[in-house]
Amino acid sequence: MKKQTAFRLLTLLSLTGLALPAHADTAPDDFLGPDDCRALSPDCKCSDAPMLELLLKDQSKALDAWDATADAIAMPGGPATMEAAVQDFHSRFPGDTRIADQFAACDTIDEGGHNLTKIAGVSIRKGGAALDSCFCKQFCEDAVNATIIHEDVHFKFAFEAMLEMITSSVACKLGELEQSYCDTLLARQLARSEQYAHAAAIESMQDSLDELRASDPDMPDMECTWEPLPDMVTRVTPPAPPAPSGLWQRIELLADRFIHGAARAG
Amino acid sequence: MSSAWSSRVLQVVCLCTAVAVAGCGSDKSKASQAAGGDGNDGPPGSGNSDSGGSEPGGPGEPGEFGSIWRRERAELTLIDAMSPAATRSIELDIPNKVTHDEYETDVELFEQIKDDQLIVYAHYDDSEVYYRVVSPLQKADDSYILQSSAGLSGMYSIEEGVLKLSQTQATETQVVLSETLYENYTGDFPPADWPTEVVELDGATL
Repeated sequence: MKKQTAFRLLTLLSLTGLALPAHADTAPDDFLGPDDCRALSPDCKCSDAPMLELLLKDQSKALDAWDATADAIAMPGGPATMEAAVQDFHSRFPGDTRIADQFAACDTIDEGGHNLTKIAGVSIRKGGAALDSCFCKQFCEDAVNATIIHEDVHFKFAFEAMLEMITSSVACKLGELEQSYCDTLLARQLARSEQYAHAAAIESMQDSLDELRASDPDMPDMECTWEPLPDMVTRVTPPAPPAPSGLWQRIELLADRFIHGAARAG
Repeated sequence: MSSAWSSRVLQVVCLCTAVAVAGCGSDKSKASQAAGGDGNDGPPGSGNSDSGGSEPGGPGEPGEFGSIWRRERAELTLIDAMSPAATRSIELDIPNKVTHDEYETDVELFEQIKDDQLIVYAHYDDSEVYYRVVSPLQKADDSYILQSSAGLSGMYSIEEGVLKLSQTQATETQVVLSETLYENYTGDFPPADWPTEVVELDGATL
């Protein structure tokens, strides 16, 4: 898959690294465990701070979106299944394409095996977080660590939720409980799991940024300073209307500007 | 966030209900020995605890909190939130393996209570590891209360030598009260078909 295609796919799906929603399956076998992933990931330097800040903002927006989805689940007519909850989340969270861009710049992105809709997950088979090697290479270690924390928290929460649900789950599968009740429980657990996972990752990245602000890893006596990346442009300013072509229309425009000021005419 | 607040309120309501249902504080059930008081630590059975901090040891006497337990059956009372008078009860047999819906994978579970902690041993199908998840419990008279990060509120007690878990779950339309009864597992533990590598997780610490 070409980089540009990958980028577009990521953009279309609004899936950006750490902002991935819940995982209905386990991680692919070729994903790396935490230690192997960290081995590929560069140490964070001052120059990584803007991207870390961007990741932090993205996580915060994702958390806000999951908060809203959780509220919606509790409302009549709100999303009532796990799938509907994920859809609702996507409708609220656009994701920042610059994160996807950095992921897609990976030198092995074209070699296949990179499912761009999923860069991290939980390996039930091996135990623990598992990450795409391109994510490991393209983002510094603090970002990787935050992702590992996200996945670990997600799994722990999911495990506890599963324990809670055992009796109901068996009853649901036997048709003894209303399907809507079963679906709503799952949707609610999913949203809460994502809330916890995002909150944990945010805390981790905030700590990383605080450390960089306090000390430059290359020159510990110095502080890191950086220019934040601009906010993502989500709205395009509509172009100014073309100037009127006729003489009479121009006179009308001038008169209007004289009376009401230029702003109104523009 | 308002949802978190409402969830917290719901948890408290559920916990109170669970306590009421299970008769917390009554003398109805007496554990033969307090959790952790069996003098045994770590995974029981053959004592083949492995890496990850588990200490070797054996199970408690049969019928104690410290025994190895497996969910066997449950009785559910379903209450329609819109018409609480319309309740019905159902009884269920719980299979040895249940499906973890989010990962669409079957998992075999055993539970044990000791040192004021719930220890869950879990092995997913085809997994090269098994999990040992430890969650703190709050002791209440002869019972233990679990308040997990997932919103689980349940109470463990022993009645006539059998471990019982009382829970309440609720949505906007339905309330489900459940009592789960366990069977005492007396086979080798961990089971012979489980892998030897264990992954330790701290539960309820979110």
